[in-house]
Amino acid sequence: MTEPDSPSVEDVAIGDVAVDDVVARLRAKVDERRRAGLYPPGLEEDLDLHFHHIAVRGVRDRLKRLEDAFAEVERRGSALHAARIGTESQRAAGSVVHKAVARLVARQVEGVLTQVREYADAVAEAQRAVVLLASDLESKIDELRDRVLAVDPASPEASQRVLADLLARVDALEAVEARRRVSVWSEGVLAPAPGDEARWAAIAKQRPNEGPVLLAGAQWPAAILDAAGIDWRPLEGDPLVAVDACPPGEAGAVLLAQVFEPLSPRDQIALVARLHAAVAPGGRVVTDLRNPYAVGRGEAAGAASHPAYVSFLFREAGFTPVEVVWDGGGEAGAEAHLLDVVFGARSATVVATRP
Amino acid sequence: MTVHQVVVAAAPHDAVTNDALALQKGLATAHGASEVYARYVHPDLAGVVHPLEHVPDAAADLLVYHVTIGEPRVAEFLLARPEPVMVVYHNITPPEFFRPWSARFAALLAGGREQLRMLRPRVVHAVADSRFNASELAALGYDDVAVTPLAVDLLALRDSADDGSAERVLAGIDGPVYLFVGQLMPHKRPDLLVQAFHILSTYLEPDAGLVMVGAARQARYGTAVEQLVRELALSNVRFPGAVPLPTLAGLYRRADAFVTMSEHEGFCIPIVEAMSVGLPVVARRFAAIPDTAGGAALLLDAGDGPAVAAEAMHAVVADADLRRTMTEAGRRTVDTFTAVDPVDEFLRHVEVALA
Repeated sequence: MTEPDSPSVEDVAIGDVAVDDVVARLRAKVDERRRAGLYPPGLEEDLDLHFHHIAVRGVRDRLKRLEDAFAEVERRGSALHAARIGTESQRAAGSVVHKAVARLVARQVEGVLTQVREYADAVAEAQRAVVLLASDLESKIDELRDRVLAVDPASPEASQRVLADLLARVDALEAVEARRRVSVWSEGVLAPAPGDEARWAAIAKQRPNEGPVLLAGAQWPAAILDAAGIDWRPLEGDPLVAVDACPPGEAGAVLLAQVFEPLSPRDQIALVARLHAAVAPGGRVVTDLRNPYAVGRGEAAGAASHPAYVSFLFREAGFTPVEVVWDGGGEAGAEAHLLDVVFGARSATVVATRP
Repeated sequence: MTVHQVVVAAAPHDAVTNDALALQKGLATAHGASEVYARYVHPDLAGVVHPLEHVPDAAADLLVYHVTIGEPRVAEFLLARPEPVMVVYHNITPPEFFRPWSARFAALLAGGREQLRMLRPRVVHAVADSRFNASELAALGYDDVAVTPLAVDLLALRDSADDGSAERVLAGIDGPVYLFVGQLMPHKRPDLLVQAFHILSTYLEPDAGLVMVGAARQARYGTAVEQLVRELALSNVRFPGAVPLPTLAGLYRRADAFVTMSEHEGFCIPIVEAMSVGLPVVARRFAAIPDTAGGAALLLDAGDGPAVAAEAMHAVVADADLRRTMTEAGRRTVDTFTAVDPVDEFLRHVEVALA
């Protein structure tokens, strides 16, 4: 074994001061303080004992309370006896009567007590099992806490568990969000914004094909469709559910008014797939989309309801052709776009045809 | 030549992780690409230290294994690999310290020594970072164990800017500050230190403060130590947990003495850190501590209780001559560690292993 170059352990001196001498002086001081009564007798032993009590108390205190409570139940159960049923009376001859009755029903009382004792024994046995279980759980919880504090948080398994928990929470939040969305439709809070009615008038002018025309989402375009002489019927409630309930391949056209904006990305994909199933060959889905850039609209319209993205979804679902018709027609220049962003809406309609 | 290092768990502020990362730079310069792999990687070190399963299939020329605890999967991994192994032994704490607190952790520690015996035929060279550790490794069947110093970055501590975070930890403490740095683990006996501080602040220095820097990796033990502080009403004890370097550096600068009651250390870097900033050190004569302290610390014997420890803490602050002597001796001890470049020493041993 190679020897190190560190200072020798045996040569214990701090500079010119021998450590052993210093420590000896310190010990002498402690003895002096003890003799002078500064330190109470048993100070160090008490401190050590105190820590050991704490060390075991955390678990044992709780278990002890449980055990004490159960012991009391057991004690009372074992004390069941006919002799503890009083026969004294304040009235003349009352005690004689009570004692006579007690003698008469002694057999029955003893029978009841026997059954109660048997029941108490069974309860006590169950209680002992509970204490054992609690003790076992305590030690398991301790072990889990140690793992969390030690190395497990950094392990891949732990990361996967955390990820699984997060996904479960996301699913739960989406479920809540889905319920909230239904209430929005049912309350009919959706209303046309400036430009919407004109755009829907243009939509209505495109005479849909054969087959039923269905309107999903906001119902305010109904009057416009009526005025255009279109025979339509509403898809009421949650559009996802309503479209799913349509007979497959029968709809001539499905008109979506303010449907995409409040949907989650996952629901948008599901809706487009269900529309593909619901629409007849040659049928169309007309989607009204609010200006995704407008900052003054007070709506949460983001990239997921941008006409380009919605077009992409329809194409992926098998619709072709898929056209985007911007309000005012044609692509706007940079200046017009900036004005749209700052001052108002520039909305679009996505027209997707099922081949 | 390709040399990779393996540690069981890699975490920020961990001495062995820091050592491996410091050595990695030296290896990269001397031998080209070199990585550090770990069974458990703290998220903050993702990309710096890689998961063990990412070790390339192609054999390296040498794997350097830093031993700190038992980990069956790491031992299995090393046994299955074709490369020769060099062991760097940082010590495995005896499991006896942990049996009352965590049977699982104690089992891991006991397993660690067994795994070292199993690995012995695969190991081409073994080094330890203290003479004490070398003797332990020899007892496990290893021959010719060399002693090479840990890569302690004292300059980083000395040069770290003061960001005021240490003062926040010390808020409310007006008297001398006693500092302990180390995980709150049973073998380091922070419980005994709290008892000593109770005597110190009750009978000798009422305004004194105690700061115990380090994570509590054993939940039940850590909770018990904190509970002891509460029940003894020690309002001047602080548990800041593991702290970043600027806070640690600030605490070392602001402290009046470093004190540890540890009963087992493979090296004990904080003693060297404390001496490097001129703090007197109070410790106990256990394991590698006398070697590391190099005769510059006030070392108490195993039989000295908390009253003697309190007296020692008081003396190294109140006795100006003793303090000055200890500070000077401490600087000389630090010089013995800084005289040798630990990275050069390590690379020399890598050459031996490769030969």
